Amino acid sequence: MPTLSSDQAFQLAKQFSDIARELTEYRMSNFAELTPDQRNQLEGLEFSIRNFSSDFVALSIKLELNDLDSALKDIKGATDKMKNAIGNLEKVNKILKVATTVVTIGAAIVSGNPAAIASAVGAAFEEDKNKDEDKEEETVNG
Amino acid sequence: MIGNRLKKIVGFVLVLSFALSSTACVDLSAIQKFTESASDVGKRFPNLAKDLSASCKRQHVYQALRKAQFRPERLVKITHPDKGSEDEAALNSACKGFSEQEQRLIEANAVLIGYLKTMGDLAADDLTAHDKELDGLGKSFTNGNIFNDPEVTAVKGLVGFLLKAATEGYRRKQLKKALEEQNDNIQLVTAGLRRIVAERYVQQLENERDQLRSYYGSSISDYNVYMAKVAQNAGAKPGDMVQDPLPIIQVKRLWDDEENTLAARIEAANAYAKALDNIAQGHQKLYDSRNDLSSKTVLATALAYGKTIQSLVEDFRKAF
Repeated sequence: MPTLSSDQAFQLAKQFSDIARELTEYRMSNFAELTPDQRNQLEGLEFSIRNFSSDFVALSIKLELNDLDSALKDIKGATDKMKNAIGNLEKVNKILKVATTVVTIGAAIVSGNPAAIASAVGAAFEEDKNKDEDKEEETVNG
Repeated sequence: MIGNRLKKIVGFVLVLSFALSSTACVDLSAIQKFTESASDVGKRFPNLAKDLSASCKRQHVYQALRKAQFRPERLVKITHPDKGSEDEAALNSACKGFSEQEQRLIEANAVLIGYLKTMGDLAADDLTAHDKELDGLGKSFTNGNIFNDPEVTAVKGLVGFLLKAATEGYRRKQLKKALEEQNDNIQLVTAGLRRIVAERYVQQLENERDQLRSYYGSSISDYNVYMAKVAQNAGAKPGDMVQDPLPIIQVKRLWDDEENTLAARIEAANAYAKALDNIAQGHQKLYDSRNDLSSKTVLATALAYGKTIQSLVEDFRKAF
């Protein structure tokens, strides 16, 4: 069964690092508008995502999957969408949801459980779809 | 002052060895110089390797301080945890993935230095000895989750060569054979070390830098929000200037110091990666010219690589 290679883990580390950075930028740019609770939640999620990046650098995980390449492609697709979403969304509740989804993906990868990974990635794509629908709704309602 | 004097001495030695290599027919001092410079940068490498987990711990300390909201009774426990304390255990556990990596990195680097020293001895036509602690690595060296299988085999191959060169009394006449047999191993080991330092370690430092910025940025923002409330309670009207920049100026200096330290470490990591490139390329050139090692062109090339590596040592020294 293929095992997560050093290079693949490094790519994951970069993806998670980029998302954590996006979250920091969002939180700092909107600091005054956020409630203390929202700030804390965002900061906590940012810590978790950055720590996953560090875990991937350390490769302190054993990930063995039959269709590893395909799973990694899905993970990259999902995390790219989440990263873009953080950059484009304005509503903090949506951003919190997206960041939580990223943490779920990170935890699923670290757990090495194929079903958990598939479920987390699926949730990310669903979240992304909902985000687009919400945007359309906002446009229609003016 | 000392730095300038050192540079002059190094420059003098380089010029002298070049002059010697130009006149003597079998003077391989340029190859020695190349291997000495390469060994010099490698000797400081353990400090860099150990910074992998140190960087991880610094990130967790920033996070813990923010989570604890700077409560005085928690500050020292977080920044300087007692031996055996829960805080120390949490920190070690969060960064344990780096411990084995550090060990393998230090070992692979020690093998590389050992090899370069041996090459220098052979070029000087001296008998060579090596660090006996490396012998066991011929069997015990593992990938540590960072080296791939060919790289592990290459490290073990170099260890085998070191043992053989010492026990069989290799001299200059075996230099060509060594270059032939070990060039592939050197290319693999330098590439592996380069990848880990230039990619993984730098990524770790970039994560630390992001955490540092988040830590200071958030704390300054918290302070501004707090000051706004204080001012409001004191009767300030909306739109009044309620910022107090003086403490922020002080904090920004601390922030800048830490940013500069991290920038120097990133620069040092890149310098080490470049030094590894030069070691690999220099070795390849010697391998390509193994039938004519005493030619002026070969010696000048070895000298040039040695000189480049020596300049990179300076960058490395600034941080480690």
